[in-house]
Order: sequence, then C-alpha cells, then structure tokens
Amino acid sequence: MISVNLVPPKIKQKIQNLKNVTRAKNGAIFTIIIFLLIGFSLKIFNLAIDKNIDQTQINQKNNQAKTNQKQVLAINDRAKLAIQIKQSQIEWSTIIETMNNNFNANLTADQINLSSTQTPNASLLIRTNSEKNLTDFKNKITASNFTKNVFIKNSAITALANDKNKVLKVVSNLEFDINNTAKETNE
Amino acid sequence: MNNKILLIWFSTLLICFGVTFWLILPQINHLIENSNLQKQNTLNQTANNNLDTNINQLAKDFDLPNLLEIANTYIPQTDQSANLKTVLSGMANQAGLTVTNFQNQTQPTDLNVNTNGFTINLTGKTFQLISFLKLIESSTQLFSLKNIEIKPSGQTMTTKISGQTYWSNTSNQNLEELNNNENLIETFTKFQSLIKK
Repeated sequence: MISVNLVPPKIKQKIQNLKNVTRAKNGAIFTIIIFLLIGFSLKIFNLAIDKNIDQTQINQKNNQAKTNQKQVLAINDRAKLAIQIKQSQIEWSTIIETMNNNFNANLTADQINLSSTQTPNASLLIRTNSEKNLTDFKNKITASNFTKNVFIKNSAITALANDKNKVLKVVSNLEFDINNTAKETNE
Repeated sequence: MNNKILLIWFSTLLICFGVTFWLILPQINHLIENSNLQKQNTLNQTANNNLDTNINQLAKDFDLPNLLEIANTYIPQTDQSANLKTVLSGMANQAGLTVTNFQNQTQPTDLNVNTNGFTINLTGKTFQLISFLKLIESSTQLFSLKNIEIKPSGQTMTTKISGQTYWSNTSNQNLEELNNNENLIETFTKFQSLIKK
C-alpha cells in the first residue's frame, strides 16, 4: 500500500508542536501531582506520629511525674521523722487512766510525777490506811502490760493517834518504768 | 511554541517549589523533631522507668497531695510557736480544764528537726486531764509530752505538763530512696496508721 503524505510541512510542524505542548502539560501535571502526593503523604504520616507523641501530653506527664516525685520525697521525709518520734513517745493518757481505775477510796495519791526522760518514768506518793491496799495497787500496776520495774521505794507506816481500831497511815513512794515495747506490740 | 513549553515547565517548577517549601519541608522538619523526641523519650523512659513505676504505684495507692498536707500539718514547715498557746488552750478548754499558766521554750533535740518547747499549768478533774491528753495524742500536729506533774487536791488536781512540738523546713531530696518501693510503701502505711489513731 502506498501512502502519500499530503499534509503540508507547516501544519505537520504545528501538530508536532501541539503534541509537544500537550506532553509538557501532562508532564507538568504529573510532576505537580507527585509533589502534592509526597507532601500530603508526609503530612498524614506526621499526623499519625503526632497522635502517639503529643508533646503537651508528654510535658504534662513529665510535670506530673516531677510533682509526684517531690511529694513522695517530702512525705517520706516527714513520715520517717514522725514514726521515729512517735516510737519513743509514751501514751500518758492510757497510763493515767489505768492508774486512776486502780485507785480506790482508801488509796490516795498526793503527788504523781511522770517523765519520759527520767528513770524511773513514774513516781507516785501514795497515802493509804493499810499495807494490803498498797500491795494490791502495786500488784495491779505490775500486772498491766505498760509497766516494768515496779517497786516501793520508801514506806512509812504510822499508827494514827487516838485510834481505837489501830488504823495505820501508810505513806509510800511507788516507782515504775514504762514498758514502751508493749505499745509497739499492740500496734 | 518552545516558549510555551518553557513557560509550562517554569510554572511547574514554581508550583513544585511552592509545594516543597510550604508543604514538604515543614513535614520533613516535623518528622525530624518527632524522631528526636522519640529518641529522647526512649532514653528518659529507660532511665526513669523504675523510678516512675514506683512513684506511679505510690500515687495510685496513696492520695499524695492529701497525705502531704497531713504530713505538713503533723510536722509543719514553719515555726508554729506563736499558735502553740492557742492550740493547747483550745484543747484544754475542750477537755474542760482551766489553763493557769503557759510558757514557750526553745530547746535542742537529737533529731534533725526544730522544736518548740512549752510548759502548761492546768486545773481540773482526772477525767478531764485524760481527755486533754487524748486530744494531744490524736492531734493533727505532733506533740511530745516529756514531764507530767500531778498534785491532787480534793476533787480537783493541778497539773504541770512540759513537752514540745516539731517543725522542719528541710526536705531530703535523695532520689535513691525512691528506688526502694517496699520501704516507701511501708513508711507511708505506718505513717497513715499513725495519724489515724
């Protein structure tokens, strides 16, 4: 088959040029689309990462951790100090209450000295009308779990003058130490 | 016609430059920042992992802000000697005792803490004295009673009590202590039971 190119060279050139422009246009559009695709892909990728690493959240977490750390240290410091002080303390209310419950009408305390720093921890000047009352009281105090080394230091027994029933006046110094380990055991 | 093609490519170049400058470069920078941040976090996490776990556990088990407030009331951070008379007189009045004398004293202590000494003279009945002592022992502020002198006189008694309160403005910042979680929990639990009494 014989083909005869009847198109004039000028038009041929125009067609060629138009083809070139179209190619250039397509190439340009393709390039721009590629760049936009790269850009948006990166943005989407970053957004995904941002979800995992939220700077504000991290800062908040760090600040909270630092606050907690400071609080824990401060509490620990004071708690240890308080425990140390409390361990050496004596619960005087319990001791006085127990002593008070063991006094009776025939047994009077003229003076009670209690001290956590001196030995003995307790010194009681007691007045009664029989040695038995005093011994009973001593036995009760000894039986309680907060005392140790209970002893009667001085005891003066005098018969009251003009007394037909020979009632005695017993003045005694009862002393004891506080057994602070009993408190710890109870705890 | 060649000019037209050149114009198309030049416009494309400009658009691509714009896309790179406004869209791609910021994303790349952001990516680099995130990568650095991730590395930093990984490093921090490794270093503080044990510490954070301990503290987070404590924060879960204990109400830290509340416990700190209680601890700072129990052993205040500042000298509270000015309020001491008011506090003790309040407790004495609550127990039904009459305060006849009050004196503040400053005294040294063996522990690493400041103390405010006091002597208070009271009159009242035995049960009132016991109530007063119980109020002191269960007070939100830590008191230590050193000496108690009681002189009964008929139905009433006169009592002289000397003791002290504590305050400390220093705090141990030794982070190593935070590594031993068992010790911390034990101390916190003991302290909680102590203040609940």
